Amino acid sequence: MKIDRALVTRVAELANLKLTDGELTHYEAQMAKILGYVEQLSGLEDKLGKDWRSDTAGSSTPERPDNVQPSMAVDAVMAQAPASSGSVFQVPRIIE
Amino acid sequence: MSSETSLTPWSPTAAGIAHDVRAGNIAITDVAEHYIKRTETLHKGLNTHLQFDGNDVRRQAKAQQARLKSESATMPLAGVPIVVKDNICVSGVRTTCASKILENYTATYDATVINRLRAAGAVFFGKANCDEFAMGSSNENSAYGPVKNPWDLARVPGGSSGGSAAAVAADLAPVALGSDTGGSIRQPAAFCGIVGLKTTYGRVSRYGLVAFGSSLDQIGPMTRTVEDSALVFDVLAGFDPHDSTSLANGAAESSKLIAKMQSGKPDLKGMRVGIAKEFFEEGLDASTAKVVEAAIDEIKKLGASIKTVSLPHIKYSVATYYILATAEASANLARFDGIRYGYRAKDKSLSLKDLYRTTRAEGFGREVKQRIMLGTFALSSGYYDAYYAKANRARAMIAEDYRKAFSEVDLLVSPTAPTSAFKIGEKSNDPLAMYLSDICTIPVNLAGIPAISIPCGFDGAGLPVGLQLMAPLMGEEKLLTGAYAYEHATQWHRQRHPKIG
Amino acid sequence: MSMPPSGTASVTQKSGSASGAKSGDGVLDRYEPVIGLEVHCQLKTKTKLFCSCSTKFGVLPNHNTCPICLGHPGVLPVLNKEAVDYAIRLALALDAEIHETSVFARKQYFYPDLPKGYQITQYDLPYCTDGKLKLSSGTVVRIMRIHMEEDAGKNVHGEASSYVDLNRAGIPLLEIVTHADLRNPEDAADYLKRLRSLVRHLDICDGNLEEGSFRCDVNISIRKRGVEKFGTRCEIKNLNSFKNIERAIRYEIIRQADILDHGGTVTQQTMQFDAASGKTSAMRSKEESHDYRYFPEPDLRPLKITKTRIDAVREGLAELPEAMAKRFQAQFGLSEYDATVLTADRDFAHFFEAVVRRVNGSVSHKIVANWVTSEFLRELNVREWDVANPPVTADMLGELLELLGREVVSGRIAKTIFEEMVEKGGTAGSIVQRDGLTQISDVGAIRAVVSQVLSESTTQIEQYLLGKDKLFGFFVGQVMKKCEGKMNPGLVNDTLKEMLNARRAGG
Repeated sequence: MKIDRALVTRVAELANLKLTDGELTHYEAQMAKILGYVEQLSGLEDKLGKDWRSDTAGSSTPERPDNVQPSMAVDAVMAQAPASSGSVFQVPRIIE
Repeated sequence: MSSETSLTPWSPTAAGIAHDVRAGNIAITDVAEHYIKRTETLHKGLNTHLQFDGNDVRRQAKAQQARLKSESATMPLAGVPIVVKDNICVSGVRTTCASKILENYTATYDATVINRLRAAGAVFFGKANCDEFAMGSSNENSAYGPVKNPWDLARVPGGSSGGSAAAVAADLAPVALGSDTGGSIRQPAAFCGIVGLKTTYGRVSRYGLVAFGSSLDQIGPMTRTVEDSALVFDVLAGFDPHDSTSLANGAAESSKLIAKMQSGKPDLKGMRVGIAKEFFEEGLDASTAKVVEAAIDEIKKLGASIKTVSLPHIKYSVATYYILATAEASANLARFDGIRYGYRAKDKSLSLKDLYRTTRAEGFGREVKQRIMLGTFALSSGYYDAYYAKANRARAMIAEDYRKAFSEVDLLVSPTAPTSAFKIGEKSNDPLAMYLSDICTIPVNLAGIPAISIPCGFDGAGLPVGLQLMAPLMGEEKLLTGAYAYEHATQWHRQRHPKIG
Repeated sequence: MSMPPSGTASVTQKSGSASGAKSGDGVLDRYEPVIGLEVHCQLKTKTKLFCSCSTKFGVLPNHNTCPICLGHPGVLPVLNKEAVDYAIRLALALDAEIHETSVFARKQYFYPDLPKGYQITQYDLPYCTDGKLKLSSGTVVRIMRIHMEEDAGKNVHGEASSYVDLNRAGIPLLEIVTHADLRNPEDAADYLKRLRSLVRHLDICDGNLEEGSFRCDVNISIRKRGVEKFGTRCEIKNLNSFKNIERAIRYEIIRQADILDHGGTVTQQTMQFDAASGKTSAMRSKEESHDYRYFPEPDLRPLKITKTRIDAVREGLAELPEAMAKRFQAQFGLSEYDATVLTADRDFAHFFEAVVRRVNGSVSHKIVANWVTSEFLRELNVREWDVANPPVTADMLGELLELLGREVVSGRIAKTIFEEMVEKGGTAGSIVQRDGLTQISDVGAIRAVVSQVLSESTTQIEQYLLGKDKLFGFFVGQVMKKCEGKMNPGLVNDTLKEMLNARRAGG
C-alpha cells in the first residue's frame, strides 16, 4: 500500500483537518510506518467464508416505546453554543 | 506514605470506608475532608486532576450523609470517594476528555455509571487527567500536561487512564473510574501497582462515556484491592436502556463471593490456569518476565493447574485494533466541530469549510489527529475491504482463539504489559512502539472478554509489575475470586511508594 | 414552456432551452425518458428515531432537542419501536420482502444540520427490498428498497451567516427507492400520488409536500428509442408539488435531448427546479465527490424482524386504497372513477361512508357520491378544510341529503341550503324551518301556479305549440320564479306537460 502526499491530503480533506505542509509530511511518514505494520493482515487466511459479516449476529437491537420525554431546556442547549442568535446556532454562510 | 498507620484510623479501602460509615463509626463529611486535604496537597504535583472543587465535594458529602439514615441499606459505597476519568460525563461539571476542543464544555447530563454510583452513596472527587480522548498508553497525550507516576515522578503512569491510576496509587481516593479500549485501565493499573478491571463488553453501560472505539470501550473500576473492585463492579454492572449494546443479563453480585472467601484461606484448588505462549515471546522485558513467572509459581502453589495454550492469531491484534478502533473513533470524533459546543476557531472571517478544518486542527492534539487520519483512511472508498473488513475478520479469529482456549482452561494469565513504566518522553515520538506496548491487553478488547490487572511484584528498578488474568465472556466472578486468592496470599497491594504521603 | 400529454410527437417550446435554438420537435419520438423516483417519507411517530424528543411541528427552534439528537459527547441511540412498526406497514402495503436481519450504518459527511457528523441510516442490508406499486396506466413500478434513517436539521440562510435548527434532526424517515421503471412524467406523478395516498392510508405519514413530510427526488436520463443502454442520469431535488415534479421532468427531458441532439454528453449532476422559470439547473456542488465511508453502526445491534411481528402488524393494517376502491364499487355500486376519487384519501373515504350511514337509504349512493365529490369536495379544497374535521360534518351533509331524498326540498334548494351551511353554519333542518324552504308537493297548489303562468304566457304557448320545444324551460323557469324554487320540480314538469298537451289538444 503506497501512502503518498496525495492520499494523505485527501484523507485530511475527508476528516476536515487543516494541516500544514510540515504536518502532512509528518503524518505521511507515520501513516506509512503504521500501515506498513498493518500490512500483515493481508496475509491472514481465515475460514469464515466469503459471505461472513461481522454485523448480523446476536439478538435484536433494543427498542423503546414511542413516549415523549421532556427535551433539554433551550437555554441549556444554547448556553454551550460558541455562536448563536436567539435559539439557533450560528455558522458562516453556507454556500449551496 | 510508609504504612497504613499514617492514615486515619480506618482502612483506606472502599469496603472499609463504606463499612465504617454505615456502622456510624465515621461521618461521610469527615472522610471527605481527609481526602480533600490529601488531594489538594498532592494532585498538582502529579497532575492527576483536571477538575477538583473541594466545596462541591463537601456539598455531595453532606447530601450523602443526609441519605444515610433512611437509605443505608442501598448504599454499598456510602461515603466512598471516587475520582472520575475526564471522558465520563458528570452533569454540570466541565468534561474535557483532556482535549482543547472541549476545554469549555460542561456536561449536560450524568453518565449512567455516575447515576448508579451516586445512588450507591459515592462522593465524586473531581475529574482525572487522561490521554486525549482516551488515545494513548502513557498519559502524555493530554492537552493539559502529562501525569506523573507516584512510584517515580520521571515516569509515566500509563494510559490512557493515567490520572485515575496515579490518583489511586497516591491514595487521593480509594477508587477511580477509568475506561479501557485497548488496555487503558489495565496497563496504567500495572504501571502504578493497583487493581484495574475491564469488564465483559456490554456489562457496564457506555452511556455518558465519550466514545473512542464504540465496540471496544468499557468503563471500569481502578482500586487498591480486588474486593473494592468487586464492590464497585457490582454497582456498575447491569442492563441500561440508554445503551443498546449493554447486556440484558449483565447484573453482578461478585462481592458476595469475595465476602465468602474472607472467612477462610482462599486458594485456587481446581482452577485450571492457562498460559498463552504468545504473550511470553518477543518484546517482553526480562525483568518483568521474571516477576510474572514468580507470580505464576505462586498461583501453582495455591493449587491451580497450569497448562500451556496457544492463541495463534494474537499476533494480528495490534494491527487489527489500530484499524478498527481508529475507524470507529474517526466517526465518533466527527461531532467535534465547534458549532453546538466546545472550542471554535477564533477567526471570524473563516468560511464554513475553513471553520471546520481550523477548529478541528487547532482543537485536536497530534495523536488524535493521527488516529482520525488512520481511521478515515481505513473506511474510505477503495480501502474498506482491505482494511476495515479485513480487520473485522481477524477480530473474529482472535475471539475464536480465546473461545477455544477457554474450553480447556478457566483463566488465562499473562503480563499486563511487556515492561514496567517507561520514562516520560521515552516513547512519545514513536507511535508504533507505543502501540506495540499494548500487545498483551489489546486482544482482550477485541474478544470482548473480561480481564483484570493485579499487582504481582516489582521489577529490577523497583517499579510495579502487573499480572493480567483473563476469563471467558461473563466470567468476572471467576476473575475476581481468582485474583482475590492471589492477592490474599501475596499482599502486594499493601505496598506504597515511600515518597508519596 | 408547455408540453402536451405524452404520446404526442411535437413539443412546443418557448424561449429558454439549454441551447436556445432547437424547437424540441419530436423529442419523445426520438428519445425515451427513463425515470426512477426516491421519496423520503417523514414518519408521524410521536418521538424521534433514536431519542424521545417530540417530533411536533411548528415549535420554536431547538426546543425539541436533547443531548442525543444534538450529538453531545457520550450519547447513544436507542431505536423507536413504533417507527419499526410503521416501516413494516409500508413494506406490507407495497408487497415487499421484509428481511429478517437488517443493519444500521453510519453515513459520514460534515454539514451543520448533521450534528454527529454522520447520519444513522441503512446501507447494504436495508430492512426491505423488492416491492411493487401498480399505476393507473397499468405500469407496475418495482420498488428496489425501503430503509429507515434519521432526518437532518434545518439550515436557514442570512446574509453573512446561516442558522441551524435541530428540531428536525433525528425524526424518523423511510426512504423508498424505485427501479428506473417509469417512462413518462404522468406515470411519475401518478406513482407519487398513489404512494402519498398509501402512506396517509396507513397513517404513517402526513404526506405533506409543502411542509416537507413527503420529499420527492427524481432521477432521470434519456436514451435513443430502441437503444437498451441507459443514458447518464441527473437527479432533481427539492421538488415541492406534484405539478412542479411533472414540469421539472418535462423540462429536463428537453434539456437532455438538446444536449444529445447537439452531439454532447449529459453530465451527471444534481439539479434543482425553479418554479418561476420552469427550468432545472445544476445545484452548486454541495456534493463534490462524496465518500460517505459507510460502516455498520457499532452503537446499535442488528434489527431482527420476526414473522410473528410482521403478522401482528399485518393483522392491524388499515384497508389499503386499492382494496377500498374495489369495495366501494361493490358495496355502493359506484363507478371505478367515483370509487377512486373517494378512496384517494382515507379520511375522505370515511366521510363518504359516514354520510351514507346517515342518509340511511333515503338517497341513492350515487347521489351521495355526487354531492361528496362535487359540492363538498369543492368547498373542502377552496376553503382548505381538514377533511378529518370539516365544519360541515358528515352528519350535517347527511341530514341535508335525507331531506332531499324525502323530497322535502328540491335539488336546487338543497344546493342553496348547502351554500348557507358553508358560509354561515347551521343545520339543514333549521335553515329549512327558518326560511320556509319546504318543497311544495301539493298538486293543487302546483296546478294553480302553472295555470297562472300559462295564462300570462300566451305568446310563448303559441310558439311552443308551433314547435319551439325549448320554451318548455321558459315555463319551468317562470313557475320556479313564482314559487321561489320551492315547488317539486318533478311535479311541476308533469303538470306543465299535462296542461300544455291539453292545449295542444285544443283545451
